Amino acid sequence: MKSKLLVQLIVGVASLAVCGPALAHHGSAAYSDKAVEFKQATVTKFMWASPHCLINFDAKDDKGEVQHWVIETGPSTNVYLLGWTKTSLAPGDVITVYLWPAKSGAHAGRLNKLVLADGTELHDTALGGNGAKAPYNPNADTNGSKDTR
Amino acid sequence: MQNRVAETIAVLFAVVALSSTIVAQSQPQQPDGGIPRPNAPMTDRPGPAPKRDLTGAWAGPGNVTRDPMPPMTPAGEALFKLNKPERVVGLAASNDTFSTSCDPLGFPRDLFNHAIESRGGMWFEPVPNRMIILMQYQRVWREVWMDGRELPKDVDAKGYPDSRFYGYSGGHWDGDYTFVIDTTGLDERPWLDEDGHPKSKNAHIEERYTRLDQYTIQLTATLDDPKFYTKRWVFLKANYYWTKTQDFQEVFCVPSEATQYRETLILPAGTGNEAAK
Repeated sequence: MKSKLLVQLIVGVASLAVCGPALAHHGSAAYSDKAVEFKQATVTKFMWASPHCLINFDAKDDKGEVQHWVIETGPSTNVYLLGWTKTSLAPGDVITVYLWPAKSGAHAGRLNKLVLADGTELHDTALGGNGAKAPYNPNADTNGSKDTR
Repeated sequence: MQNRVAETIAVLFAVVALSSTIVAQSQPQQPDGGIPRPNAPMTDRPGPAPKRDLTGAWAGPGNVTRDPMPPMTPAGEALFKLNKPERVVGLAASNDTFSTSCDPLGFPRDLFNHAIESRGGMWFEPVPNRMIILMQYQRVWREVWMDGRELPKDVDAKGYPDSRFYGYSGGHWDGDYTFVIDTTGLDERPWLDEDGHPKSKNAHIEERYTRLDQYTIQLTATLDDPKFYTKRWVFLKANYYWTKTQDFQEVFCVPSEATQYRETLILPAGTGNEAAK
């Protein structure tokens, strides 16, 4: 009996450990929690901005057709501390990109991370999206402005 | 025997899973819920607070607290229902003109913005007869008159001045370590906070900045707005810290970028409630 409980406890804790980071790295209701990968994506535009940087890129789908994508990151002030600069990306750069795609099916999403041609990895801020999930409770002692951008 | 095998498998699974967690978290450690700190604090022990001095660049801690909100008046409730904040409905459905169009944050919403350090800090600079507060985000400033002048009893009415996004402010020192600011005459368009709570033009907002030590300011902000709230409300408490570099990056919300962001990403992505195309 004790062993069974121990197994259940360990499996439960382990499950939380596996799932936790994945969920913690995504916070927007508009985006799927299943990341997709594009290799050999070509940057077409990079907008260094607050509250969100934008990356436009072209990538081929499974059928070899070119798709035009736009994805967002956290603010320039935040990603700056993760190694980004205004010139981290330029049109023509070939990258591998991992992103959380929009549930709507639009070619839009939130960056998870990207890999430059020289192998450098650039990550988004740890919590993607605006984290707006909980129903509003006007009487809650809200910790009003925890930034999840 | 079976129990031992099961236990061993479970332990091995747990070790692997926890190792994944450790690897996933081997990226630079980020405090405050994963938000990096663009305005790094000092790392040495602070000295005592100087008297009557807030001069310098300060940034917020990453989150704020507040007292429970009192009940709103019917007028407050009616206005509140019209506001659709991003954190509730998603940006695609929000009517928050700051988020969608880079409209001015206004006061006191800029306090929330700057209490969240990732969006900017603020600089206190005394000048003759005034304290100037310079805000990193959007590079705006507030002027706090120290000459005892009366604040407007009304705004946007005949015989009275126009309302302002950042209001009219008067300040004084309460003792040697607390700077008190009273503000009124606010433009009603910006929300009080990111949750869409309203504020009226005749609200009085008191900020009390207490310098706790060389590197820490404690802010308590109280709203007195009987048109919309049935009681006075401490709507923001936050500690600000002295920034190491005393230099702010330039940060703007640029309207053309906001438009591009909204039109090319936010609206196509939707709120997550639409069916996939």
